[in-house]
Amino acid sequence: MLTKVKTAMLSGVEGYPVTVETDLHRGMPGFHIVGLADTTIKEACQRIKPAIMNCGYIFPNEKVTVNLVPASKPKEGSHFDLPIAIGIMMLGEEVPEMENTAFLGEVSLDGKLNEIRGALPLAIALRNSGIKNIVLPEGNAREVSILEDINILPAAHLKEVADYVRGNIRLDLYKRKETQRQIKRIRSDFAQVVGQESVKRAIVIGAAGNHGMLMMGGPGCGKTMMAKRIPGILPELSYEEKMEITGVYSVAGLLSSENPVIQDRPFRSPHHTITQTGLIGGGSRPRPGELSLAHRGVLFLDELGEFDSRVIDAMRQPVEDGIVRINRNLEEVIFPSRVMVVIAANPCKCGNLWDEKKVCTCSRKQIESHRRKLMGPFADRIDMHIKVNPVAKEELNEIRDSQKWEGTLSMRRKVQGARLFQQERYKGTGYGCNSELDEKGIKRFCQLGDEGQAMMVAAYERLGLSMRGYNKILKLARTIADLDSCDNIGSEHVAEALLYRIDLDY
Amino acid sequence: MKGVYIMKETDSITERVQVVKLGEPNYPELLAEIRRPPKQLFYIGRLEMLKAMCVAVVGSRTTTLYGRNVATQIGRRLAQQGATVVSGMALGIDSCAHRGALEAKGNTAAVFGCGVDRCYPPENQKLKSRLEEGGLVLSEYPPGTAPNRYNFPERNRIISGLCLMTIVVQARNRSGALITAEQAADQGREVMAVPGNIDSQYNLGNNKLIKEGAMPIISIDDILEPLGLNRADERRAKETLSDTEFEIFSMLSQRGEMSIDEICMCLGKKPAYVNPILSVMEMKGFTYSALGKVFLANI
Repeated sequence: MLTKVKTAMLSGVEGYPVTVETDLHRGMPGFHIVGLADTTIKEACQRIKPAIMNCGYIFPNEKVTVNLVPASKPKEGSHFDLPIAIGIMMLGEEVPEMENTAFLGEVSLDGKLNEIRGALPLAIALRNSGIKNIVLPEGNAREVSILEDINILPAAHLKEVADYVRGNIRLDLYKRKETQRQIKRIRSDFAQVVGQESVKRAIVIGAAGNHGMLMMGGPGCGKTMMAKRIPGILPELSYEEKMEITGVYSVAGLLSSENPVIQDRPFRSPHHTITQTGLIGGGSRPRPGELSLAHRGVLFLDELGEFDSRVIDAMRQPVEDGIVRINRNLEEVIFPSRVMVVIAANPCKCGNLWDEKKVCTCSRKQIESHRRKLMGPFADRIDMHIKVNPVAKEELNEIRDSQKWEGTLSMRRKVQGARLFQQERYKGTGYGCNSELDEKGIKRFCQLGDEGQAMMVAAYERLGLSMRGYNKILKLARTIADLDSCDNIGSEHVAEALLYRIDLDY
Repeated sequence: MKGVYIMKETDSITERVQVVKLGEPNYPELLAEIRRPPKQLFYIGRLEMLKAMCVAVVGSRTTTLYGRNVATQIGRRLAQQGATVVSGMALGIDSCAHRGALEAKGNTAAVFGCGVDRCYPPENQKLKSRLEEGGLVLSEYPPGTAPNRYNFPERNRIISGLCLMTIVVQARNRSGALITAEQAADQGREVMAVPGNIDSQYNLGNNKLIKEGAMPIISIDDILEPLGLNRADERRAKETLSDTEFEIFSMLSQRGEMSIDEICMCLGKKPAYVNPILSVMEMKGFTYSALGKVFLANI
């Protein structure tokens, strides 16, 4: 006697279809699960047996073997409970063909179905493998409903599912709610930031090309306040982006019933005591780190100088490549990490180094070690270096006049315009925005006129640019030209980009 | 010795040495005004640098680190402004002033108390060849004249005579630098002195000058104001900068330093407009930016 039930497994944020094979044969009574199952799945034996019996069914008093195909891939997760239980309950019975139906769900001892982690990526994998119907716990229905071309059959209890499989009842199709997207009121607006117009200009450029930014300045000059307002000026998420982000959050188990689908760009601001695993991701069963949770959004590192320097260095590769690779004994897990890195840093540990009125209490050694973090290889890969000054006293006089300062709405409009301009240009090239350009892309899309070229050569000599610095300026100049809707990069675009170069003197 | 030296064509030592006589158009104007102008000047190097604003920077041979630092900085700052730093190539303050000016790739002239073909003090051989190459060495004594000690006070009147202003950086009680200062005052030229610690005998001379009415230099920039040197840079600025650039330049000359936001406010323009202009000005060498603020490159 043999049954086959469809389900799926997770590796990173990618799902893969899995078939649960259940066999019953004579021998010592027992329950074995094979196919590189980890502890959560092995424990399923203890959950499924009482659950089946509590539903009024008899658990077979013979030797039960469950095989998870493909057997060579390591599997984890409690969502295998439901397909295994169904496989056992269907043993020896005539059931209608279930080729097109898959099952996901964790089972309680009383047979109730509990929510699972990673439902969306699992459902995506199942859909891609040709599954039409998917049975899952009610709590996961809304999250998966973002997928449009699959039938979602939410269920509350194991018994319900068993009756459905036998054809006794029909499960109601989940009705997708019209995602009425109310126009959000902007709660934190850039207009609340007094002055700092030049930093806002830099932020618009950064957001337009998705360039990393390092803001350096004394304490209290508004770095954090401005960084928190950056997601507000980024363009709306596309459907694909929402799927990607929701997938990551689903795997991390961070979706809630109030917030089953991620609608807004993430803003993650990890504390500086974070470990490498917490930031990059990892663990014996790899989980996404802050870097991946900020995917398609903003990763804000406040007080970069306080972070462990090894943690900072570990971010180099993922930020550049847009993916995190984590290698474990049997598998390589990939998490997405296309983030806009925003860094705030004081010029020294006490923060008063640049202030003429206050006294810096740091020793030379402290200043040097702080500087090394801020000017190290990670910071070298950040496209824009911006100095933030305290608000000028003339500007303070106009503090009441919030109309005067550039606000989120007008900034977002500029960013969106530049992003559209980039999308047109990069159609079919694989690039998304200017910060993603590699050497080949720079050569192709960042051609300079004679005047701009002359300025770059002069800057290379006079300002001591490195080759990487040179390329970063080209990418930035491309974005500034995009903000002007210019097909060609002019010398004024290069000139402005040069302002954001790394200042080695510091 | 005061007679006009006639150069012999066979004289191999004097091949590089040129001469200018009183009354010739190349003869330094200011020097001609003094009471006993030298009848002729022997020189190696570019005489035309004396046509620019000349400032004498003098001091003792024995000095402290403080004195040497200040001398170097004054030399550098003056040279950056296009002034010619005049001194006597003695050890200590004099050499530092020359070096500061040479570092800034500016003009500097050394007036000798011996023939310009000789090197006194001999330790300064290297400095002398740098001066011959990029600066000027001159003397009223014909080539071959030995560094007799009575030549030096005489020489000092040329140093002060060439210059509008004489700066005494550090001088001991009976230093020759004080003679130069005295002669500068006699010639109706400005005298400034760098104040020093009163418990150090190295500063006795310069502090005494201040007591007697020399203007004290309490910041490096004090040396530029009486000379009106900012205006020289302003002329160059007016020629090479565009209107907006010049407006920014003048704002900076008044306020010293400004953040980009302040510049935007004063101009009533957006950062997107101002940013490229600032970059271009930096490339032209008029400003530099550091710590998020914009400064004039030459104060």
